[in-house]
Amino acid sequence: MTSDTDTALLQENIEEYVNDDNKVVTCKWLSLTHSININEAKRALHVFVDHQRNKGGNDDINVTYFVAGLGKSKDGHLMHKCAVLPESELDVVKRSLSAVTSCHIFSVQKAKLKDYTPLYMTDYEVIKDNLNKCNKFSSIKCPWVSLKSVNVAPKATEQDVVKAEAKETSKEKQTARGPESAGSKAKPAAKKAEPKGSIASMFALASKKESSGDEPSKTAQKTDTASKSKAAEKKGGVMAFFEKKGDSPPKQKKDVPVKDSKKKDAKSEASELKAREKQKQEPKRKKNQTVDSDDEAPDKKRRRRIRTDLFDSSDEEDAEAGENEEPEEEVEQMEEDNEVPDKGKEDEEPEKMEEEQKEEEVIADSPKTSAPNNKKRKRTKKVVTKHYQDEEGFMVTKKETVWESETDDEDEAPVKETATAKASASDTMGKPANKNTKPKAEPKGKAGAKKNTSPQKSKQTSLMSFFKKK
Amino acid sequence: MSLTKDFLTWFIFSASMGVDILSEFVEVCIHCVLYSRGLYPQGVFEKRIKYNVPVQMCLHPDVCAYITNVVDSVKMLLSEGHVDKISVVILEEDSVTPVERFVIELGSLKPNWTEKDPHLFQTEQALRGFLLKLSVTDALLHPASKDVTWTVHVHTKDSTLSAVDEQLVQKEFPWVEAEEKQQQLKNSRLVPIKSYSSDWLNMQLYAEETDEKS
Repeated sequence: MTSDTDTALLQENIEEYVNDDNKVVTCKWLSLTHSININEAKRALHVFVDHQRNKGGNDDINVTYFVAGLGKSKDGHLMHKCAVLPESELDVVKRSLSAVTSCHIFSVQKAKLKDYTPLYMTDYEVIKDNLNKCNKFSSIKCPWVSLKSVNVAPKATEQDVVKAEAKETSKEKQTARGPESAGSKAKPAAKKAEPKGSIASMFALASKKESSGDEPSKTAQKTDTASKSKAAEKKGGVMAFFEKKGDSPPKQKKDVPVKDSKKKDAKSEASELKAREKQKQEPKRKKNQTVDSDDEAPDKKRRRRIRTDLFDSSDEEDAEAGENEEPEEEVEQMEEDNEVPDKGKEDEEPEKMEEEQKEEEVIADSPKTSAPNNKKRKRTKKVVTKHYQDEEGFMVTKKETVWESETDDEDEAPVKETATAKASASDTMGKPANKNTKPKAEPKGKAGAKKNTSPQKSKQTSLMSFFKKK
Repeated sequence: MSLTKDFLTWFIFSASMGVDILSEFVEVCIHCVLYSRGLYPQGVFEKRIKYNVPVQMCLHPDVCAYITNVVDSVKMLLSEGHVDKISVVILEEDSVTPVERFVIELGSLKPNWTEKDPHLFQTEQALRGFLLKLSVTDALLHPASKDVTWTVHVHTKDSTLSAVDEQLVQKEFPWVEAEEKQQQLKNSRLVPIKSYSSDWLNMQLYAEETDEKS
């Protein structure tokens, strides 16, 4: 029978380890090395010792025992004691315990051990090598314990995101988001990594459904930037959400509606962060669009927007001018050109949601509405010469087409500028002298293209913006 | 600018790094041998941690000072030139003849250690293995004899010694050439304990003992 041969093989192996290799064979070491249950390992060691002593006549093996039981502490209280001890002390210790609950062979070795150090070292090595399964062969089980579902953790973080966004976004949106934020808990810890991860995961799903070739790569980039474990968790949660929407598999149905809102909020949170980070309009569009369209927009639209945003954001992050991005940007610019922002339209526009253009309109509106001071603004395209320092420290002058609000909008620009300043790589170069030119420098330096559509003021106002906001 | 500077510091750093690591290991080894062969009573030893495992270190100040001096000299020799062997020789007290010898045999130290093992995880693991094996060598060797003393021999080249000779004299810890008598083990039995080879370090530890133990 296989079990017999297995046992025999195991015994042979133990003999080899002890006698030939002069190893210290602890029960834990044996269990992990041979992938057997710990009790089986203990039994095998017991059999081996018996065999060696009684039948083999080989008595130069040393055995240490593990004893556990009830004994008295120093104060006289009843206490559960455990001890690893050499064979010589076994009887003594056993007698000192009032009740012996467990006694088994701890290790077998040829050498007479002076202290427990070799035992510790043996176990140390083997546990270090098997960290993820070091308790796999344990017999300690609890029937009430069950593995936490994957979605619980992302839910928690998404809730954090929700809370953060609830505080940050403007009041109008709150009514639309009311039903969604109902389930959120109270931690305003906005983490950039997680929203990015969630967006990345949604991105990946979007790519599946809309079969866009670039997205997975962008997703990969995103997940690299985000913390991978969180991204994985998010993916699990978000995937469930998407599958539910599309195919409705029986996956955590309760979580889905909550996740739904969380995801949307995560998206909007991510967009929030991006708005802070980058100087582009698209991030702000994101913020508004996801917020407004939460209830109504079908997944495709949302994903499309996200994809756009991601294109832009990843473009900025990776300092690559994606070719795909440019046409979209141009399109967006065109759309925004055509738009006359009107506050009254904002609530209506999300509801249209039929074309991307209209989404862009909504996006266009959001920056205006978010800044509390300016109610009506006009955005026009202007060609402005920009002076800035690029990554290598050279002053560069470029003529760029930028958005410029006619009204003095210092609140908006510094937000974007300083946000980019935070995000950009040249920040890390640590040149304080560049601070004044930094805000402008970043997006250009990063994108490398002339088609950035960051709303820039003239130099003076940006300087002012630097002083006004950090 | 910063790149080249970093490289230089790394290079200089790495060359002495190997020497430092090795000398630390030699120190721990000596203490381990003292403990496991019962050269001093167990009460003199205290548990300390090295390479994330408990090791026994002797507390007696004179012994510690002696070992520290030995290790410093070894470090000097290692940085100046090549050291073949470092051996802890256990001598019988009366006749001052060696009965046992624990030898660390070294290959040359190479400075390219950061390539495969930049955080020295493998090295630490290997050194841990050395210590583990050393502590269970009782099984392989005859039981330790009583009434013994010990010393440390270092096998190296003349040129290396002359380079550090002055420094050693200044430190008031001069090394002398070992007597022939002390170097030879009669009817010796070689017991290999452990060996390790990596990019930057090739090392093996073995024990020699004479069969003529009382």
